[in-house]
Amino acid sequence: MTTQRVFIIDDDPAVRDALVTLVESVGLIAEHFSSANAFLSHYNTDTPGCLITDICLPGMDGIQLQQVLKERAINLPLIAISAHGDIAMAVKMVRGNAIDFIEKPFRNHVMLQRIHEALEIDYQQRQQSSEVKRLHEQLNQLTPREKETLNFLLDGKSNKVIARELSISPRTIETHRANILRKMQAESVTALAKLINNNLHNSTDK
Amino acid sequence: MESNLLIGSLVFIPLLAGMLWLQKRNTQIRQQLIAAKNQCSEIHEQLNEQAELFRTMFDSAPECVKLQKADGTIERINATGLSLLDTVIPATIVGQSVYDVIAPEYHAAYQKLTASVFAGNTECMEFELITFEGRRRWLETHAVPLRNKQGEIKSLLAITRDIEERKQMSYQMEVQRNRLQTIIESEPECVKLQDKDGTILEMNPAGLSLLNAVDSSEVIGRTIYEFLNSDYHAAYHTLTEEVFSGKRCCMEFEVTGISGAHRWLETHAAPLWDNAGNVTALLAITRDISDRKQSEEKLRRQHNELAHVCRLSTIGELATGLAHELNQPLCAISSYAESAVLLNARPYGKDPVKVELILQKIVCQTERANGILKRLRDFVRKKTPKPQANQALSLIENMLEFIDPERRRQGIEIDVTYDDALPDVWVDRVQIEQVILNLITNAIQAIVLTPEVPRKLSINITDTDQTVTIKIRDYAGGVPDTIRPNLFTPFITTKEQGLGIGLALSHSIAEAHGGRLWYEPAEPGSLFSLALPCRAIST
Repeated sequence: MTTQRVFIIDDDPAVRDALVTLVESVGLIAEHFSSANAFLSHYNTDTPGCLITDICLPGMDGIQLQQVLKERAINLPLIAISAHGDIAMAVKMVRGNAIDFIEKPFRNHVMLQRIHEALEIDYQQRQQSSEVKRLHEQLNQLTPREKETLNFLLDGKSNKVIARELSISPRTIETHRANILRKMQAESVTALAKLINNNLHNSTDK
Repeated sequence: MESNLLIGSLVFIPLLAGMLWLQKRNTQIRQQLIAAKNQCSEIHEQLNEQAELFRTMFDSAPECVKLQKADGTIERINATGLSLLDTVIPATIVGQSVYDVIAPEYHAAYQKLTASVFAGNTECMEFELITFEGRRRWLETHAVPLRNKQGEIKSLLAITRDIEERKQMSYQMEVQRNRLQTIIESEPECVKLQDKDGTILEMNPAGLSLLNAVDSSEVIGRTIYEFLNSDYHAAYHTLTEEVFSGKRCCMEFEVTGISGAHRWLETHAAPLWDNAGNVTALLAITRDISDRKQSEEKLRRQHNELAHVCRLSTIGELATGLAHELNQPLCAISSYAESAVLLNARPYGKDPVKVELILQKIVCQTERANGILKRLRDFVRKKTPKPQANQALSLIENMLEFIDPERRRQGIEIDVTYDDALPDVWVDRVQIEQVILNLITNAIQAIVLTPEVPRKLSINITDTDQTVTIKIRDYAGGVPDTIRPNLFTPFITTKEQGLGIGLALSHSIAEAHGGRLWYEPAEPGSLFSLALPCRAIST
């Protein structure tokens, strides 16, 4: 996994430089841009990190940027900053999933705290999405009969009940169950249920 | 001849010869007598001719000729003399006393003259006559003694001329001089004569009172520069030179009177010529314009107050943008400072070079913030306008910096084009910046309020004939037809929150600078032109 980066967009060179200085002072890598477009044309979706952006920008402003990020499914955690103290815009940004809105001038420790939180969120998001990917791959290895069995298991039904429902012997169910746990690399049905619940809760393909 | 005949009868014969001789002699004598007679009549004729000539001259002399006795009895007088007395009949005066016609107040003097002439002197005097028609007439007489063969003075011969016209003229002149003097003395404005180096030659009472002088001796002979405030010395010197070169001039200046009182004066100076065509003095009519100056000053102060209020109001409108503008460096400074503290507090791996770099950046940003504040302060500061040479471009750039946050917020492009080598304009910086800012904010507001128009504003600076013209054009809706005739009238506005003062004030500021502000529709959009002078206007 590549190193996390803090992307900074501000049209004011001094504010930009101050943020870069702050980010670098705690050993993080900063990349800075004077406009939203400059960032968008540079950013590669695979790069982990977070984004600090001024709301008032020449050309595309913060709100429009948030829209574009959503369209392009870029989930980089976003910290909005503004010198205007424009409440209406701040509310819009936060509703659009910005993790926070910070007024200029900001306190470094507050900013750093938010940056770290944002990076953690990004890490978690990326972790989660790799977990989901792995789960899907594992699920695809299951035979149709195993998939049917798994559904009954996740519903909390016993081997006997499942055998009766599928009109097969409890012993065969026993074998399917062992295969499922092996293929899904799960210790128990309970652990597997938890894993699936956590990662695939939002996706409908159970 | 009878004696000759008697002698002939007594000694007839012997003396015949003698008789014949005598006869001959007689004939000779007779002839001589005839000759003498002829000669005599010739002389007589000559005498007659001369007498005639004398009489003709006497009678037809254009001046009065008269003979007079010591007691004043007139012996003879010519026709001109009679006409001076408004008569044609010699008997009315001849044989009468001259004192009958001389105005009584001159009798004594005339007696003295007569006595002097009879003592052998030549005399001359002026006196008034009262004619037979009762009119008074001015005469000038030259009197000489007239002697007989024995050298005795028998008469006074006087040649007298009518000097009524001359007297009238000099009387008129005197009247005029008096009238002029009265006018000057009672003239409510200062009238003064001054020489080339500024010395006051003459000054009327009104002038003296302007300088708080009680007596003319306090002022006459002193120089005007003693009273003139030093700011005006150079200009007054120039005025004096102009006047002495034959021109009329006018100027306003301040003086301090003898009592120390301060006054504003306005003077109209003209050259005073002599007959040879040389300027001998500067004649000036000067009036006290302190009251006018005071009300002008009051008006100007009110105008400046209004301009100041408008600037504050403009700043109010731009406050959000300015706060943002100021927030940027503050934000950078606070962040830099905290970073520096953090770097310095590291237990290991301290980086003094980096800390110093950050500190320098802090200084930079402080200056930036200071610059913004200074610009703001200069703009809202209340001060007396003072025209100076300014670059039109720098005035515009200053205001573009001011408006920049607002411009960026509204996403408007502003392009500025200008002629090469623009001359400086002679204006008060803040006031003209205010006009420019007013025009730019108006344009930005027009763009923002009109949907779907180019978010663009063009500024163009040109220079023609010592006038710099700044044209500000937008591509929005333009000024509505209903507003256009009253565009520069106060309290006319299309804006809900506008006072309607901005353009009216801008217009009067432009005019106060000797410039102009006008509007033209620009299909699409508006074009405002601000023309500014490059030289000082004379006040």
